[in-house]
Amino acid sequence: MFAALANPHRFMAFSRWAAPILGVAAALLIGAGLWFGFHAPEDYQQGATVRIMFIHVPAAITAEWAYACLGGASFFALVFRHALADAAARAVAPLGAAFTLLALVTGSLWGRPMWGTWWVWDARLTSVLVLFLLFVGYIALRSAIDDEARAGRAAAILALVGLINLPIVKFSVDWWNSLHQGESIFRPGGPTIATVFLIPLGLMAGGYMFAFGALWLVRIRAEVWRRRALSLAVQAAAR
Amino acid sequence: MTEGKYAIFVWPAYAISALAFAWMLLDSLLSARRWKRKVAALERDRERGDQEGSP
Repeated sequence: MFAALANPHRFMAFSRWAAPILGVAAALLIGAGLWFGFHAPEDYQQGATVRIMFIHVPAAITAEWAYACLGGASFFALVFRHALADAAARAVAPLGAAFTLLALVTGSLWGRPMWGTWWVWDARLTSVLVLFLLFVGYIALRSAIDDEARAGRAAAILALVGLINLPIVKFSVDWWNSLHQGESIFRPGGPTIATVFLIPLGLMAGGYMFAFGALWLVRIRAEVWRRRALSLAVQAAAR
Repeated sequence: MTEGKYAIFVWPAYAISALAFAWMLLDSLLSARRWKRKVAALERDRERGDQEGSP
């Protein structure tokens, strides 16, 4: 499938219908997730702040996935010099930055009433902040170099080096003593969250991932058109 | 639905998320539309130039 979509024409034909389908699926899942989330009982310890979990956890999962996508696309762009992979990498960075910022801000809004502080230099929080800085650094590096090919290669190397942060984010709560709670969903033995909270959390996580997929496809399409416009402008100037 | 004493934390979290989604959606769609139109205009110019240049 990846080989087929590596052709820009096939990708544009595929994404034309795939993006709206993913967008509608995202809207349905998020709508259902919100309904279940606001009809779920309050947690006996967290009270109503448990509802922040339904948007914080999906944002954090999507942010990590977005970085994995950035790393994968950068690898293909750097090793195989694939233009569409480079376009995909450029397109995903702002989305990744937005989802990471959402995870940080909603986490902070949950932490203030539950931990008594907006922020601590805890391993999980700090590694997620580093994730945000990697996305911002990637965007800044691409913008800082005029030659797009050089900018793409330099940014791809940064993205690949930054991949080391992903396992740190994931396992930070196991490797270090952390104020952040340990893994409670993707863990051996199954989730430790009550089903009444797991349902809206799962729906919202699915919705966020579909929304990310739809937005990424739209942004790659925009990037393909941008490159086509630049190429046409150069051809027009040469005539 | 009032969220009691935690409303001051819960509602801003949802409002910020809604704003972020609105920004991502609008920025992505508007950017795609802008470049698609630019490509269409440049292709029209090129075709016009080709027609004027042909004998």
